[in-house]
Amino acid sequence: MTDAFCTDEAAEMRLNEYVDGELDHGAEPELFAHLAACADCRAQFDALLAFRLAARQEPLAVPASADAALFARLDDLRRAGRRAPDRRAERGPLGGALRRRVSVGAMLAVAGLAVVIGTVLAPRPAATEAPRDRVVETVLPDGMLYVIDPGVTIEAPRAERAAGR
Amino acid sequence: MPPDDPALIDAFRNGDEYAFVALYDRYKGAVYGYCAKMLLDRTAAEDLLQETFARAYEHRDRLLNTTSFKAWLFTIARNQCLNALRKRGREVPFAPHAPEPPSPGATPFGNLLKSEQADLVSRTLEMLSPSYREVVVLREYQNLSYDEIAAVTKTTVSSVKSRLFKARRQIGQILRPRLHPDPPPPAREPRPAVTASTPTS
Repeated sequence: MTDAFCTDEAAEMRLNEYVDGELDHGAEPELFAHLAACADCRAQFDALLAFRLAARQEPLAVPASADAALFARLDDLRRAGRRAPDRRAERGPLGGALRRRVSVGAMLAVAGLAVVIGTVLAPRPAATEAPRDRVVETVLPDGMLYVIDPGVTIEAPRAERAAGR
Repeated sequence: MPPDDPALIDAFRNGDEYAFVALYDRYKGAVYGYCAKMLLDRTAAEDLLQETFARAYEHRDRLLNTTSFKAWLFTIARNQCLNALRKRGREVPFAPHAPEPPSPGATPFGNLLKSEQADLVSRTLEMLSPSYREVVVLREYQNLSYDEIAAVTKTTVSSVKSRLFKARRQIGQILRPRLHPDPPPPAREPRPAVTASTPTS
């Protein structure tokens, strides 16, 4: 028997599709005619069927330990899920809403707009003047002197103060 | 009558754990078989079976279409297998995989035959590269259509056909000499011993 492969690759492709149940029924007569004449394709057909038979006879039972291991792991996942903090719930309502619904681009646009409006509407500062000390002359007849404005200098003649006493 | 797949999958997506267990029972054999044949190692396949379903459970919100559950599940399993194969490539295996225990009820001869066949299939698959092996396993063991294989492997149907074609040529190269061994060369007639003739006088 030959170990070579058919030189007609299209015919061998049809053979594969036939083995897989994907060949159109209309193309079957052409394939069967080719098989009747081609020993290489017949040998390949036998090999594919033998492989399939051997593969499908092999027992592949899932070990019982696999079920127990999976369910134990799912229990762990559930417990971990309960313990894990719900960060969304912990966020403030506004922050949460912003995180969920407003994109970064939109937030930047709003911030930029606020800066522009603030710049336009802000009162213009008056021309800067050099700070001048105000001098207030007064007589302190009695009691305490309270100085509230740090820019005010108070001069009280000591003689009058003394005379007043 | 057991519920059909779409009903179970819908329930699973809505958090029904019984539906998840039903789906696990329905697909665990297929996923285990796929992993076992991809890795050629049943112990590792058991771990990957667990990993696949745990991930499916965790990421069920990513399953958008109920009709593609099988392909989605195999995609998870495939990623796990490819990762394991990559990892294995960097590590030295420390123990051969355990042989499958004999099937109960079968005759010793039947068990021997199956064991030999399984061994032959495993050795054949081992000779295929992972990209050829996966299409063969998905087709021969899982009976997936070309469309489903393309969805799982994220390729086109024509690529699936091409890979199957090349993989099967390799399978043919391995199996055909065993199926049709060449007849032994005909035994030659024993030559008569050559003796020096002594001229008679």
